[in-house]
Formats: sequence, C-alpha cells, structure tokens
Amino acid sequence: MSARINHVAITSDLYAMNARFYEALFGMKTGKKTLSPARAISVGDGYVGMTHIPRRDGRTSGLDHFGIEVDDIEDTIARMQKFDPELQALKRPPIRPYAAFSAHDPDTNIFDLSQRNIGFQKDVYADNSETDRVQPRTLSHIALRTRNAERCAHFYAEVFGLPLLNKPSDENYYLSDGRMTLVVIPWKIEDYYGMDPARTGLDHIGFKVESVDQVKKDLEFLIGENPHMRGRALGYGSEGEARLNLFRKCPLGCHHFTDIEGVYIDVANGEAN
Amino acid sequence: MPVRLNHVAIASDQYALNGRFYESLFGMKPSSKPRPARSVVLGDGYVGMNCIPRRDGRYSGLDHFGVEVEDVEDTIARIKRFDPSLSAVKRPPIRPFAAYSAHDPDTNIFDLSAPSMDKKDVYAENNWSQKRRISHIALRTRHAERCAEFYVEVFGLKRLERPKDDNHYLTDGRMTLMIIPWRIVDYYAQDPARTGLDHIGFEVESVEQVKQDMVFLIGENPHMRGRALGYGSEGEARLKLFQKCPLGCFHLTDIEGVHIDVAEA
Repeated sequence: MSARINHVAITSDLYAMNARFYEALFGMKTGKKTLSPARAISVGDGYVGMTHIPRRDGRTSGLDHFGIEVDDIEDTIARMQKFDPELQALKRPPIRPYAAFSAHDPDTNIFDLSQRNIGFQKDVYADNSETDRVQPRTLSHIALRTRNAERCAHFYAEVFGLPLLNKPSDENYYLSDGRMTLVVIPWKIEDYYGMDPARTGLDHIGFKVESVDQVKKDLEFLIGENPHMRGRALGYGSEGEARLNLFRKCPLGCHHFTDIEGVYIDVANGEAN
Repeated sequence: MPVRLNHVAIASDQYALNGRFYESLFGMKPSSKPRPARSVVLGDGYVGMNCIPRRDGRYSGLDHFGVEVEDVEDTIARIKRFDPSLSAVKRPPIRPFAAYSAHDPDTNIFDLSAPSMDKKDVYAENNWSQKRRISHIALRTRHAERCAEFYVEVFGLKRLERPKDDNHYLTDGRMTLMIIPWRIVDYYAQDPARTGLDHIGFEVESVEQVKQDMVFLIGENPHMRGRALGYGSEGEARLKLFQKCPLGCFHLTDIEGVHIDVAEA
C-alpha cells in the first residue's frame, strides 16, 4: 500500500491568472494534453498536480481540497469504512482529470481519490505518472487545520499507510508519503485571538526551493513584469500581524507570502526531489 | 431567554460592490456611521450583514452568522455544559457586532453579542421594518441533528414543524436557522462543497418584482449581475440541490456568488 499525496485544488475567480503565477514563480508546467480551455487549469511539478478551478456559484474560493493516489480504490474505501463506518465516498464524473472518487475524513475535510495505473488520469496527472521530471521548486507539504487533529492523523495513517514523522515539539502531526508531507494542525478557536476565526480545512501549502533568496528576487521581478502577479499584503495592522504569526508557526517554511487568490504559501530551502 | 439571529457575514474581494448589491436589490440600509476602510455594514432593521474584505489566507463567500443573547457569559457556560470541548474567543473591541466568537459541535463558527454591549453601526440602529428582509440562514453540516440540539439547548431556539424533509428548522420568532444534513452522496455529478453556511433567504413583497428589479439593476449597472445558475450538467446539479430548500422559490446569487433564495412573505 503506497499512497501518494499528489493533488491539490484551488478555486478562484482569478483561476487562470493564479495558474500563471505558479507557472511563473515555481516553474510548474501544464500538461501535454490539457483539458478543454473552458474548464480548470492543471499545472504540475512532476509529482503533485495543482488544479485551478473556476469558482462556481455558491462555493467558497481558496484552497479547496487535496488528493491521494492509491493502489486500489475499493480497498481504500473499505479501509475508510473500517476506520469509521459513517465515512462515505462518492464516485466522480469521468470528465475529472484526477479524481475517481471524493471522500472525507472524520472532520469532513474533503479529499479526492485516484487509482494508479488505471488509465483514468488526464492532463498533468497522466504526465506526472509517466515521467520523473525533476525541477528546482516542488511542493513539499499541504497543511490541514482541523479540530480533531489526532483522530484525523490516525485516519490518514491507518487508511493510507502514511507514516507519522517525528517532528520538533509542537502539537502538529506530520504524515509523509516519502516525498510530500501532510501537516495536520489542531484548530483551536483560542488561536484566533485578535483576528476573525478561520474555518477549519486546508490552511496552506509549502514549497521546497533551491534558494529562498532567489524566490524573493523572482517575485520582485515578476511583479515588475506584470503587476497582476502580486499576492496579498501580509502582516499589516494588528489583525494582519496576528494572522501572519499563526501562519508562521508552521516549522516547514521560512518565507511567507500568498498567491494571487490569497492562498498562503511558505517556502524553505531544500533539495529538489 | 430571548435570542436573535441577527448577524451574517460575507467575505469577498468585491465586498464594496456586494454591499451595493444588497442595498440596491433588497433595500438594505448602510450604517449611518460608516468606516470606509473596513467592512460594509448593512441592515434590514433586524439582521445586520457585514460585507467583509477577504483577508490573506481566508476563504470567500458566506463566512459566519451571529446570535444576540441576553448574557454572553451565561451562553458560554451553556455551550460548555452542552459539550466541555467547545470553546469561545473574545473579539477585538473594534468589531461592530461580536463580543465573542464560538463554534458548534461541527466547528461552524458564530459570533455572540449582547444587547448591553456598546454596539456599533447598524447593530446599534436595527429597529425599522422594510418590505424585503432576511428570513433564513441555511447551514449544511454533517451532524445536523446534534447541531440542531446544540442551538436549541444553548440558545433556546424553537423547533418549527415543517414538511417531511430531514432538515431542522429553528426559529428565534422571526429568523429561521435551517440546518441541513451534509452528505457527500448529495454531490453526485458536482464537486462536493465543504460543510458550513449554505445560503441565505429573503422574504419579499413580490418575487416577480424582485425579478424585474434585477433586470433593471443589471441594465443600470452591469456589475450588478450575479452568477449564472443551472448551466451545464454540474450547474444543474448544484441548482437542484439548492432548490431543495422549501423556504425559497426563486434562486439567484449575489455578486460574490453566494446563493440567495427568495419567497413571498
């Protein structure tokens, strides 16, 4: 049982521009055979595919869900139901480039499920499984902030076989597929003193880069080239400072910014995978 | 223990335009003391709506709702009695509505305020009646029954007898909090939506007049157009799920994409 955390989805009214941001700054690439230009845009780093979804009516924007590729979906769904018989999965329409099913953890955090080598994947998800492309900037972690963090961490460990990593003394849970880390952070309303409480769910994504300083320089260059490549201002005012301080508690990143949509990104120096 | 469901907040990058939409279509009134750099605060005489600028790292859309209670400390004690693992956080004094934020057993966030608080904006002025007003807030959550019990026990909201569906309808005497069970299987042929606030509803003097007013508004200002509903197989599936709410008969969105249904009073 070797699971891969290899999908993340962001919904946005600015989804096309946001995809360009990840292409421009992190060198993520579109697929060889992309889906219809009227639908979402997927970009990949050779391992993780990131789908930028046009935000639809009644839906929220921002980090939306992540996805896990498994050897056998039926077996995975059986494991989920063994963990908690109330948990369910939903078959997805075949147009999706990645997901065969959507499901949720005990705190109702939604994730997609895909099965390796069944020829279902399209776009970058097909390319990612065919190649071992190495690039200097790759996604390193997805952070999920949820109320019953311990139970959710056990869910991902038991159902997907993601081992828990020993990390420095904090309350987070770090689960790894060998390359990508899923950070499960306890959501506590007390953490939101001095700011609006955020809902539970995906919190931020992180990248390993060849040089944090070079990323900073590239970001300045990009904004000079195209003013729309500027993310949100971080740390302004007492509430902005409180939000940034909470975000900075993730020990896996050392430089913090957002994409065009406002999604939190942290980066750290690390070897390319 | 009189309580009032009298606050709803929408986070948006287009918060100012969205505020104008609710003013124009539903006649909601802005605060007499606006704070132009912060959120736009509107009221219908009972419910205050905050259109909040979306901040870094946060989601857009319907964000939270609020309940006014007689005694905030007593309410927090009731929350703890219902479930000792639930907690509340004190809010910065700049907020026009909230003294505390708290959450239900499914971690749906709500604000708490009390009449004795030094409230600001429309929350200090909400005492008029108008022909178009917010009638319900719908929350879609996984443990709907337990959450309904929470709002009944903690706030004393009364259960309404409604036609046979599996929703829970709770009222403060004027506004309804509708709690809909979230089930992933309801999302076949569409992306599953996260749990949380689902939509808001208005009671209006005439649904036909609202439709005509919308057409007029879009003619006056093309930015007043909401999202297209029901297009394509996925749009159709989303609309069908939304249309299951029995409290609305005409469906639209605001500028931000928040689902709104309206019905005649």
